[in-house]
Amino acid sequence: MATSLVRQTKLLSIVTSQLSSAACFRNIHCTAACLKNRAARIRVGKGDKSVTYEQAYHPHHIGHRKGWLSQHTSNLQGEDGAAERVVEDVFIRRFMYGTFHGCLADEIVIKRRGNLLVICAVMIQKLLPSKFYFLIGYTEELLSHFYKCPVKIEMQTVEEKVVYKYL
Amino acid sequence: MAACVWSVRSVRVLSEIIHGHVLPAAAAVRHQAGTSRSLHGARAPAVSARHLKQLGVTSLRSLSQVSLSEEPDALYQKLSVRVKGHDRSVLDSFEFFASLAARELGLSLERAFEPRKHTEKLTLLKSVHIFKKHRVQYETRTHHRTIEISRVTGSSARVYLEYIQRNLPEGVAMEVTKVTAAAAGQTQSCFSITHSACLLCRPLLKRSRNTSRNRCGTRANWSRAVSEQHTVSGAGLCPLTADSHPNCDRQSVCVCVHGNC
Repeated sequence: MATSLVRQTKLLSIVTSQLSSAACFRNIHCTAACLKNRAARIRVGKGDKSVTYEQAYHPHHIGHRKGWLSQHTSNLQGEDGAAERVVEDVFIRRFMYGTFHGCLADEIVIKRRGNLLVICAVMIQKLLPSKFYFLIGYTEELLSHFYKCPVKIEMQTVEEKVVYKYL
Repeated sequence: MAACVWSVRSVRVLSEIIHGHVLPAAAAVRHQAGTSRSLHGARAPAVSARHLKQLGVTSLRSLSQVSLSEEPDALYQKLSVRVKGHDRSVLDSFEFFASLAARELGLSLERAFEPRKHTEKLTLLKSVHIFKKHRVQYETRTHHRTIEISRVTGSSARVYLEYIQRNLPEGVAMEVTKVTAAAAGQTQSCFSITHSACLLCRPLLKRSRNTSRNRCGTRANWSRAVSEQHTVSGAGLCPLTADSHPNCDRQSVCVCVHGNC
């Protein structure tokens, strides 16, 4: 079915190019709308792509085989402030990704206990420990000034990225 | 696991302070509090420094702030702690922790149950532009757990709640409802109306609930009596009509406007 579709699209592209050369710019949809879910999923490939546990399981496995990456109370029933937490989380993830460039082994886990913001990260041993300590202190200081709350980083280092399977 | 062991040991230290026991030297050596947590406002009897050293309490600063006042301690008929979270197993472990803490502190744990979970579902369009027939559904589940503790004093409740709240896991929210009770044999203007199982007393009840916030942000429900002339009769008699209400459990359930049951 796929090959016939490909042949059809090739024929149609020839037709449309001829049509467009005749100053007619209509495009034709020839495939049905698939609309497959693509959120947070790595598509299965040849088998050479290494994938961590977090990346291997799809979002509908959250709560069953996966945990939560960002833990706060604003999504509970009767609680508010969800939008502000999401914006903070996005900023923190980008900040950590940029500050520790190439060192992150897996996604960052953000926990909020009262006023305290705890960032849990697993790093690859790419830099010297002294450089890691400096970057941790720099991140904690800057983020606590941004968000006006105490920020703590709990870090664990591994030698290389932990591979769960190959897709 | 280590945190659980440490918390049990520290709870024992807290319980000794609350109940006024001073451990003998041999037993006290075994109890070693870790990093001591401050007990703001906890009422403790006069404990000497030697005993404190035996108990292993490192910081005396918090205990020296304790002062005994003449006004009577608040009495709570029921302390209801309701926790909610996304993960049921986290609430399971928190319930185990809170009930263990209550048991070790000598508080009477009435019941710990699980109210029904609440699911919020969202149905959104899958595509940015058209394709109305293709949607995607999300749901958010909130699990609840309620722990009820009956007949507590105000300082015990404060200590217990502070301990519980300091060890709340991330992603878990807590609501505390305190129901005050009047002391038996005293005329007081504030007491609680919980339920009235006594049908004869019910039409005489006037419920005016004043909800206000405590210092720690918890909501405390209490109600005011209209007149406070009569003292507690003690038996199963309604002071107003002097009828005997055999179904009315005066101690806990039925509260009349004019007296304390």
